[in-house]
Amino acid sequence: MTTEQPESEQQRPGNFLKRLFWHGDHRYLLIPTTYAQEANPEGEGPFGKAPKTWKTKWWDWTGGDHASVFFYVVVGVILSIMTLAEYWIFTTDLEQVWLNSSLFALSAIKFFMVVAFFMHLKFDNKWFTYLFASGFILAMAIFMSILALTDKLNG
Amino acid sequence: MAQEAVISTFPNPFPRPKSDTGIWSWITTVDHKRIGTMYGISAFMFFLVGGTEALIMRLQLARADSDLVSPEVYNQLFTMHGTTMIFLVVMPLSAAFFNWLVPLMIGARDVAFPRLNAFSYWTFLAGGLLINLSFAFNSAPNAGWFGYANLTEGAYALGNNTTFWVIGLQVLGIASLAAAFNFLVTIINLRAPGMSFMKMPVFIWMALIVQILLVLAFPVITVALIELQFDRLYLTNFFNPDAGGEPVYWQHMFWLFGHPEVYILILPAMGIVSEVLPVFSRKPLFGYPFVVFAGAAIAFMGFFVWSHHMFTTGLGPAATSAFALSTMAIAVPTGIKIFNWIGTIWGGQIKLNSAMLFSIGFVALFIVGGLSGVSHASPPTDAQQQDTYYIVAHFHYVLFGGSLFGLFSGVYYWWPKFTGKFLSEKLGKIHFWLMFVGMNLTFFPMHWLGLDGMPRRIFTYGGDSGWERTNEWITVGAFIIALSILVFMINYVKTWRAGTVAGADPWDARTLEWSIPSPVPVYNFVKIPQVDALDDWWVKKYPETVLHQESHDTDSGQLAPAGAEDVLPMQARVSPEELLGEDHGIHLPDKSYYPLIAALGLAFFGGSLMSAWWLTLIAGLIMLYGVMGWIFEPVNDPEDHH
Amino acid sequence: MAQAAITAEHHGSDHHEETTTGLGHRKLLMWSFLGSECMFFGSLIATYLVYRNQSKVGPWPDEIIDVPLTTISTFVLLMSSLAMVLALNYTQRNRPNLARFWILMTAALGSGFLGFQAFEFTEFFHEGLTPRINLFGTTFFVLTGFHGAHVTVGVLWLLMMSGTTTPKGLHGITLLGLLLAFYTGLAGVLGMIDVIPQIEGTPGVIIFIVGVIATLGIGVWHFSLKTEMAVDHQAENLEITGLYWHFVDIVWIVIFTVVYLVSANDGEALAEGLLHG
Repeated sequence: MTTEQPESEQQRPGNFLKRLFWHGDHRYLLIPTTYAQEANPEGEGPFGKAPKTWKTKWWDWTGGDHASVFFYVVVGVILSIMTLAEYWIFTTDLEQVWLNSSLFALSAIKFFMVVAFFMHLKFDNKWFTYLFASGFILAMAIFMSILALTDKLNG
Repeated sequence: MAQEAVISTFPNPFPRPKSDTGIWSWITTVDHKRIGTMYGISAFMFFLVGGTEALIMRLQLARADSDLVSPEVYNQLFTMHGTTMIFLVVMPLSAAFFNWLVPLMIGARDVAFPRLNAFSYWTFLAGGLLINLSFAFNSAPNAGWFGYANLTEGAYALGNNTTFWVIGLQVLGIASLAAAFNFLVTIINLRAPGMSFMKMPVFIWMALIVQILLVLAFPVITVALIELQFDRLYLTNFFNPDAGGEPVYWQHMFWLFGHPEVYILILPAMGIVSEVLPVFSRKPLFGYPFVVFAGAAIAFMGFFVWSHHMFTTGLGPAATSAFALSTMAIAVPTGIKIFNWIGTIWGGQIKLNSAMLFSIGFVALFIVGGLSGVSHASPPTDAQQQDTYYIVAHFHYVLFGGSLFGLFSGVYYWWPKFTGKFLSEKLGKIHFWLMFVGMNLTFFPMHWLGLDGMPRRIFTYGGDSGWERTNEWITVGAFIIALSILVFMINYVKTWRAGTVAGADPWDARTLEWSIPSPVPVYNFVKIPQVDALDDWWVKKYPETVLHQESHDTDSGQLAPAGAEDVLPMQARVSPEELLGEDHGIHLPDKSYYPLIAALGLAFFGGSLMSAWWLTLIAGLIMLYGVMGWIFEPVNDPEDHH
Repeated sequence: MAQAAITAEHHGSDHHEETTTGLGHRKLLMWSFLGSECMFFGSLIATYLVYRNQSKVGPWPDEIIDVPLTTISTFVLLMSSLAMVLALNYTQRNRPNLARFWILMTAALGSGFLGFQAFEFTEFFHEGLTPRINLFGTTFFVLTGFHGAHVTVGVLWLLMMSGTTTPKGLHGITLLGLLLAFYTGLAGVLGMIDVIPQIEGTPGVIIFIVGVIATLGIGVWHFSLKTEMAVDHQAENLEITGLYWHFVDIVWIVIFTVVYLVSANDGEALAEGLLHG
């Protein structure tokens, strides 16, 4: 069994972005899961299986039923770019409120990307989401109230 | 077995403990029942300590201008009384019930992490001993159980008194957290097949909610204690006003934990009462889903009321109103529960034995405590009542009249399951009435004293205050409570020697733990039961009553064909001897030294922070050794299998 | 001395245990622990924010905080998260040598982050910011220090996990050596930032270097081991390690924003303004 399965290959969308987020069951923008057990693809190096030809095939290694090394690298690159963007925003002369809100927004996106993709919460059992979210949401709610009570929310 | 991949090897100097009898079998046990028993006994010992502290305080307050104890000793007494009763009595007594009953009621053979369970117990015991060890150094904690900053800062609280308190609570917090994670996973993951959440007994529901509260509330006090500890030991500035620190921030942190803690103390008792009342009324619990959701609502809202402990710190009208409203709103789910309990008894075949009396006592006294609680949810009245004996009256009605009555109810109810013998009903009823009368005599007059302006935490008062006569009666009441506890101890000793032997299901009860023999065999269930309904054991025994009462229930249709062989308590009939004959494939986790070593290392580590650095190093190494041995030790020794 | 060997069968016994939800006990425990840790770090971050601009004396954040440097260390920790997820990926696919490479890479990047933190603490210390000097120092060192402690625990855990992918499994003696080496390095760091006055200055630096070399040596030796054994039974164990590691990373994502980017320009003027305005 290899990564590319003949019948699912036929259903693969042509668009690059759609391929990247293709889940293999007629739904787009569903990122591949990581739990499919399958035999080792051959010739796998630290960065995954070497692409056959750089022009056409290299993103095909993603998709299918499970996330590949390439997928994680893409997430990692996006996270790095966002970290750089944070630094760039920090160096601009934005108004305080815009500066802070864009920084917090980027930070939140990074947070949820790591939780969803690296920690696999997006694909995993909902129990894990409940347990983690109960702590996270409660912490946000309570400590926001604490900051409001001590007049620190707009400081 | 050539395919077996070796994951780790570690030189293990101790042979694995094997014996099932003797003192070491208890010290190294990972059996939830034995750990539950040890929790119960330790908590009862601490109860006697905390009770003695209360009696000394009452003797001191019985007379005006008394000098039985000095103000310094009095400060230590009330601090240690509060700390002991909350962290070393009610919480571990609840933990004892969780340990015993969570696996039994959900149909499991043990908790999810047996060695972590042993670690929780030993950490609790070591932490409790550490905090009480302070008496030996004549530096018992003396700043109140809430340790308000900045009175607890190094500059104002000299000596090691408060440091003992901070570190002791930190160790106890780790014990509570470890136990909470364990029970949380156990309840989610080890329910018997078919036991969906809405088929769980209410006690298990309340246990689940309490574990969630513990998991989410204890990190806050951990951080607050870390900050205070750093202030005291390393001279940081968290609560130092000279450097801009805010003492009120300690109050926020403390009560952010402290109010959920109140529900950590009361919800287990509510769960017990919800099990006892249906059995002795011979009726199902009235409005099961309402009781469950009311418990969840109390827990959730409990996180958003903390500032009602701080109305007099001047939070501003908006915040004060918001917290007053949320506090009053919490009376709604509480009221739902009380009406459901009353609805359960209503029209039932009530059997007034000791367990039932304690449960009814719980409902009655908790109503009193709840009502006085609503009275200081209103900020203006709270400002009047703050720091007076009215508050003392309120929280003793909910903690003593509530939690402790509920826990005693559980003791009388489950004693036959724990030990195989009944406690004496006669002595039990004497115990109840003495405790009920003593409790009301002690705490009800405190309402009057408080409204008359008698402050809390004062070591004495003037003879011209007019409080002396009332205080005399309160002291008499306290000794009546002490007498009632003595009666309980006599009951224990007498029935231990010559108690009536109880069968597997002496109360004709409703939940799974009564389907197995008493006392419970070490493996609990020969065969993990299949659960088809709420109160499954009752349904299996009396399918006809359930079909009649709950004909609207879609599940009940499946119960009808249950044959006699399914209905009769098969497991109750299998004797342990019969079982030993054949291998049922029941693998119980082996005993272990390492949880004990890790726990002792942890408490030693905490205590050593007040001492020389090399002691800390030794303690750290002991802890590390315990943890590493634990990691490298397999759950079961390989030899066992082959 | 009895050798207690944990084999895949015994260690993984609770994998095969039937659970109500079908989920592993330990993974469930880890996620509830992370929920709890949200409250823990939430409390510490809230403390930092409540006391922001409350210091009475300097040094102030705008004189102290070096955002470009921390951006690099943030990037290092982020990349360690990527390495972690790759390690898990290869463990799930039964590639022990690649898995060990990425586990050790994660640990190395994590140690790199710790190195940045040690450097940063030392710099701040010499610029006059101590935990005792003002509220900024108090809240900054305790918040980032507890995060650093979590990273340290994570690095040790990863080193242990790398041992489980070696041909003969994790040896207690190897682990003891690793711990000893790692703690030597850590003690050196503490000496450098004057926490352990006995080894302040040059001895601290030397001890740190010895510790780092020893740790790396054992790590490299570990990496040189080659095996063909199956490791996918370790996938859940490594996944749990990974969950902890990623959590430490996301906490830093928040700390980086709150403590560095948002409050890097807090200064005396702002604090005075808040005080009087």
